[in-house]
Amino acid sequence: MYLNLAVRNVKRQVGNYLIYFMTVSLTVALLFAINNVIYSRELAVFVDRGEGARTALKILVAAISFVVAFVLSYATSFLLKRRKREFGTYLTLGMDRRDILSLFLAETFVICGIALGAGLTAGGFLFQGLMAVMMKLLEMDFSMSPYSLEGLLRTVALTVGIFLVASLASGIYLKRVSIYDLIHGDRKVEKRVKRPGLWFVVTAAALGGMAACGILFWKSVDISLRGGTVDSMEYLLAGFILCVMLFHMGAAKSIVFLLLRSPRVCGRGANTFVLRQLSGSLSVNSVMFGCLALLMSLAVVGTNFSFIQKAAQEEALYVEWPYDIMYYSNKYHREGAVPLEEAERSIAEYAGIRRKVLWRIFETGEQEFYSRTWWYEERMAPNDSFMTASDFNALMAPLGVEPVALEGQFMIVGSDAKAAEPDWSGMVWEHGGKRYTFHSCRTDYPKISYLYFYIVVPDEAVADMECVEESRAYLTEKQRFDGIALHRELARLLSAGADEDWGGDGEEPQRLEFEIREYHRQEENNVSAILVVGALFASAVFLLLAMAILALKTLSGLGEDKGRYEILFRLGMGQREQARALFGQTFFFFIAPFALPMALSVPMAAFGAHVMRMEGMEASAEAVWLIAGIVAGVTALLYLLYYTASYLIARRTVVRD
Amino acid sequence: MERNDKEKILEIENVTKYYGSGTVVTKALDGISFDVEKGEFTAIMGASGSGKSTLLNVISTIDRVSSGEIRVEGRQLTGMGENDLSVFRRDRLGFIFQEYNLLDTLTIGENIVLPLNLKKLPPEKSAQELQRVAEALGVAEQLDKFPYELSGGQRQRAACARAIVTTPALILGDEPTGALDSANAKNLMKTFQMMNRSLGSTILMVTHDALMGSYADRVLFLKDGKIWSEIHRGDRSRQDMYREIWAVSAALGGETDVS
Repeated sequence: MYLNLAVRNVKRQVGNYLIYFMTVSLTVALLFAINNVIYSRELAVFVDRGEGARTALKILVAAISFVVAFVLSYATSFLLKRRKREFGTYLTLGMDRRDILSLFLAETFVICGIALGAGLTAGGFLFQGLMAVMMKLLEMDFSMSPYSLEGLLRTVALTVGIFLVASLASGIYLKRVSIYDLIHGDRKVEKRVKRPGLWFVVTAAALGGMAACGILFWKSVDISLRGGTVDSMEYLLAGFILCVMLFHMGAAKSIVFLLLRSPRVCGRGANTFVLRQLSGSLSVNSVMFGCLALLMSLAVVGTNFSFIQKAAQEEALYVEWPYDIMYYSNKYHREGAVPLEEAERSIAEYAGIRRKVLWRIFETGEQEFYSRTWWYEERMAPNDSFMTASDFNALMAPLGVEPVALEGQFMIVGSDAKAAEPDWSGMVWEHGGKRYTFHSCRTDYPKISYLYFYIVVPDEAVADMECVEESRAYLTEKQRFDGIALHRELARLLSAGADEDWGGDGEEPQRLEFEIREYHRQEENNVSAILVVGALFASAVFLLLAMAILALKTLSGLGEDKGRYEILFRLGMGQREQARALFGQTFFFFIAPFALPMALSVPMAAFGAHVMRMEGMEASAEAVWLIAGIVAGVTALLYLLYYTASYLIARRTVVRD
Repeated sequence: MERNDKEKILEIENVTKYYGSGTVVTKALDGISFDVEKGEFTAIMGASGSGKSTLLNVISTIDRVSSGEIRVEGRQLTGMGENDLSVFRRDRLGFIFQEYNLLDTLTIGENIVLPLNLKKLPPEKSAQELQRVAEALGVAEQLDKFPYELSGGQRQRAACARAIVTTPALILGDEPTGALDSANAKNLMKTFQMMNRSLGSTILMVTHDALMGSYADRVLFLKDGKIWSEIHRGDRSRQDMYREIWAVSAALGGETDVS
């Protein structure tokens, strides 16, 4: 009986349930898509450490499902409150609370059932979309991915779980609410906010706090990238979260109330009405606004970071590994010798060798240069390392770097900013009866060594030094090749050598003397694929939930709003003026928790571009702004769609013509 | 003769209103015609379903007539567009409803001044008008309070203040005493009389209560969508008017719900 009545009620209240239906459907679609990604064979095959990625995504989905359950409970209660008068009437007619709860649950069950079907269908397409993104990130060819039964079952189980949690909240509400409150509403009255001026100070202080956290974070990262040490930055994150919450709570309890004190603002048209409508909804929901703003900030920041990381990945690869393959052969730090001829045969087989550059590192056995660094004091300094100018120029030539000429001079080449910290300028190095003066200290050359820094000297200076490293840089014929397979092959050679030399157990050694850029690219693709897909999923859910709450909250108040707009109509407010007032009321309600996350795109992009420039990645620095713009644009578009749907429903309900 | 010399605020001419379509048609108003002159306090009475609320709705431009003409201050309402009707309603009509219809989110002062804000009157001028009507209606002390903080009588006086703040041509009351106890209802009627006599307001009020009707200068009785009878106070006392209303109601067939 309940099911028939529920289906009839749902049909009758399509408008009321539309946003709820959209929310549940999209949530199911997202869950279905991500669950299929988790259980896809591609994840296991293409993503190295697939099990780890799967576990990480499972934890993410479980955590997000928990948030979804909480939010949908909230959303369901809006629906319930919107129809409280109807339910109150049922109670006065003799229905008991269990009957009403059963009826309401049957209705939401019908909605969830239909939404589950729609969500699974949409999720099927979304899954293929996510896999296409993932394949693209993994640089694999896209083909239709099969759906998994585990993914389906997990989605259904999560949806049922979410539905049960949401139902529990409705049950508690219906059990506790009085018939009087159901019929007469909550006697919603305007609560005067105490000391709006003080709340305004809180708002301003929170804004200042956010800016301070941002600046401190920026400076800390800056110091860190320049080689300095910084304290833990968790407190900055905690401070920022607190400030975001306080900013929205303060703004909700101050700005509108302060505007209401201005006769100039209130004296125009329906401004007073709009401000009063806003003040009621903002002050009551100030904590919710803080939470929503936080969710959306996380969505915007997370998406930006994941895409920026992806955009910078390629350039970072070339900064970190400027050669296609590098062979490091240090006589003191070898774990096993790879038979070089065999290794080169393998390289030629997998990638082809276009050019090979030999380079050497020499040592005096002294620490004259390192003694000028702070880490020398901490007994962490190795011996000074030297490279001849001819080796250096030969190495740099294929990378398009101008050769250096050192006549009685030395040049410090550092791997990171730490090398530039000591004052080298006045140093005179005496060796082999000659004096060498300081030429320059450079940290912007392509990184070719794992050393903190090395000293480039004229060729004659190394005549009596010990050669500790004879390494090789390779430029390959193929731009793209299977780096993971080559790495495995070289490791096999090393492992075989280890067996012979040390009687090892044949396991892959921890350290391989070959650094293969394509191997690192594929490894990082795996990480960024998980990061981007995970961030996209989390951001989509956060955004969806935030918008759904705002939409449902708006719609749940339409019953009361309808009466108010009826009065405005009778007082002579035309259809257009009513629509304008409703727009002001709903738009500012929607925009309140959205403005800050959107505005965050600007400092986010500035920060990202700054970091990229510091890392010497100019192209990525440009891309950061584009990414931030696209993320903000897409987010705003989604937001606009949700807002438009809510506004049109509200307008149809309350504006009298 | 005297009536013809006065300015006609409201002219109703052969107004008919049908509801429904096809075979299920209800005739709510059946060719009603009457006038209301400036400064007149008129009550409309009748049984449930007699058409009095429909009549008030079409006069207040909330509903449209099926045929006939309605003029307020000589302006034809039946041919006006939605926007013009809104402006007309805002500027020339005042409303007082049974349930006060004060906006619960606005203070009393904001409620009263709202029609002036909609009219885009300068804030200083609005403040003066607010003070004027608030003092006249005795709600000056309650301007910063919200409706829920006032008694029913105070709320209805605030609604009266809002109705007259734009100095409308015609004030329409829809069972204004319906939600009040008898003492507050009598006070409200005295307020109506004050508005009518001291402030010169023209009032058209729908009521089912003979006692409230007795405060009016003229009472129209509706039956089945037609004007069945009409009485004028003339020089009679309120008690005499009350007895007359009872008598007409009885003649009407006892269908009028008088109390």
